[in-house]
Amino acid sequence: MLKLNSLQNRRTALAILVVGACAIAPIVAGVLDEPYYINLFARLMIWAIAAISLNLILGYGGMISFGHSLYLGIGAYTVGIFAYYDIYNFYLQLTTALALGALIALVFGGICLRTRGVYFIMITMALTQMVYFLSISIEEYGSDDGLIIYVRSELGTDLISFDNPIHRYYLIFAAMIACLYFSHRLIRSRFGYVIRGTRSNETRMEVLGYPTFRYRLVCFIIAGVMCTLAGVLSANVEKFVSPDIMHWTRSGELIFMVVLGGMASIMGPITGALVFWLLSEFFSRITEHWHLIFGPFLILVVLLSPRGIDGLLSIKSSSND
Amino acid sequence: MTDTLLQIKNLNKSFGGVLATDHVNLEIERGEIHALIGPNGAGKTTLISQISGILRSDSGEIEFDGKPITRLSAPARSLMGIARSFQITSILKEFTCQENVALAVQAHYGHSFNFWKPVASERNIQDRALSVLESIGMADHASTMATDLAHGEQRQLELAIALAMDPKLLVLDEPLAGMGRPDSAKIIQFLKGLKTKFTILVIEHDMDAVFTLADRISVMVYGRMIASGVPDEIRRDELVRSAYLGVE
Repeated sequence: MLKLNSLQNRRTALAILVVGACAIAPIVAGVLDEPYYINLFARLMIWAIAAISLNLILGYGGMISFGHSLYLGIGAYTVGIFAYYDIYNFYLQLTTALALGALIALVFGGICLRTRGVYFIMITMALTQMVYFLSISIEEYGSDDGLIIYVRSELGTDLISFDNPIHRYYLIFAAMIACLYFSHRLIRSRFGYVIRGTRSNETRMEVLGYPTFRYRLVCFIIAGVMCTLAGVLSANVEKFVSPDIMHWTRSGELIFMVVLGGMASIMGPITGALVFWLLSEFFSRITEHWHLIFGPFLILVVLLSPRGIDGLLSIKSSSND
Repeated sequence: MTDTLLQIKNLNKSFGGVLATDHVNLEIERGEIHALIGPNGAGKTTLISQISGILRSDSGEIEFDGKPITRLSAPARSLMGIARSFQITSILKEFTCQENVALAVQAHYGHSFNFWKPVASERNIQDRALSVLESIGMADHASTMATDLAHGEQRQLELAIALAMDPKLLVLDEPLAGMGRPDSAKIIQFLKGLKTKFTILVIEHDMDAVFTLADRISVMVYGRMIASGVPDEIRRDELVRSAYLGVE
């Protein structure tokens, strides 16, 4: 019991630390007079939302999607294309984006989830690359130069606006907390147990009476929709969207964040996103070819602690007792 | 009066050129314990995988509770009341015993598209899970992780999961596999106690257990059903003696 408690305490401490850092980042940035940090942390939280959504299928569901950045693209491009036609209503943009994200996840998931293992990885990647090349080929929307968004989404009120960096920041913060809480509830629900059970032993779950395909597909759609939300927010931070947002290397980065933070842990994706960014900043200051160090470093982390940072917490707690 | 719960007619399954089940016929009556015996590789596990729906049959018919189920999926058959245990322990290792059993209960208590309410707060599921664990003598292990259990206990949990589905037909694939004497005596005693509640089809190599428990026995050799009858008939059957029992 003591052991469990202390692991639980460590997790809570880390959660407070990470969420607290996000909560006060704009204040610190204000004090330091470095407004640059506000957008940087906003970007970080958008990555975190995307990673939280990926964790639902990758961490809890055992579905290694190598194409999750697709939904970032769908969200961001929906905002971009609406803005291109001078439609700035946030609610319309958001509903359309989420509906589109859900539809695409339904169709793509329906295809991918019939495969397993490395085939699943390859097909998720291939489908996303297909959309990536589609976005490059449409010249109307900027092809590979991307699409500049001149006007951010309008919330229909004077009280809060995406144009105010502080407002924007806390809107994103609220979205991240909502996603965090939702995933916390989800994995403890009936649905969450079915998804986790399916990762653990699919045949057993079938024999218990669960049509697993259906549950996996719904999980895939939920993750897609959540990541689409991240894309919508991203467009409002960057005022720009380009095909790069859904390049397969982006999907790879998302996977690294989830793995680094600890798969199938609630806080994992956020700490993963944070540490991923800190490390890439740190290494890129040492050398221009920082990927050369970063890659092996990540492999080392995965080898030493397969459950990422969350795994380190439990190792520490058991050796202390 | 006989009342057939499961009827298998001319069931076939081949892997490559090998006939794993070869025109198998089998009838299970409601309320009986039916043992399926035969040497290794006789196709017993293949047959019950065909019954539980994990393997699709090449041809033949399966009827359960008066309805054809040959083309139904494994989950659909499970919901109709067929529960199976596995020879190779197939529990959910990263879950506690109670969670393992609760998942079996949950599957039969409505759909699971609830994304919000914690399962732990669903009293009817948890109470049922606990009472099943208690009935099999594992109440103390409710919050033990399945992976931390001893082998014999994992076998017991495997059985508890099947029981929790409250099935009409319990299909057990070597419930005593790898168990020590005292443990298996306990399980045999327990299975005897289930006799009044469930219809059971059991694969087992332990002949003492088979002849103690079974109302009827069927013998499979090389994918074929070579005999079926009450224990005394099977004991006397020349074909069975030479093919299987005689080896002992």
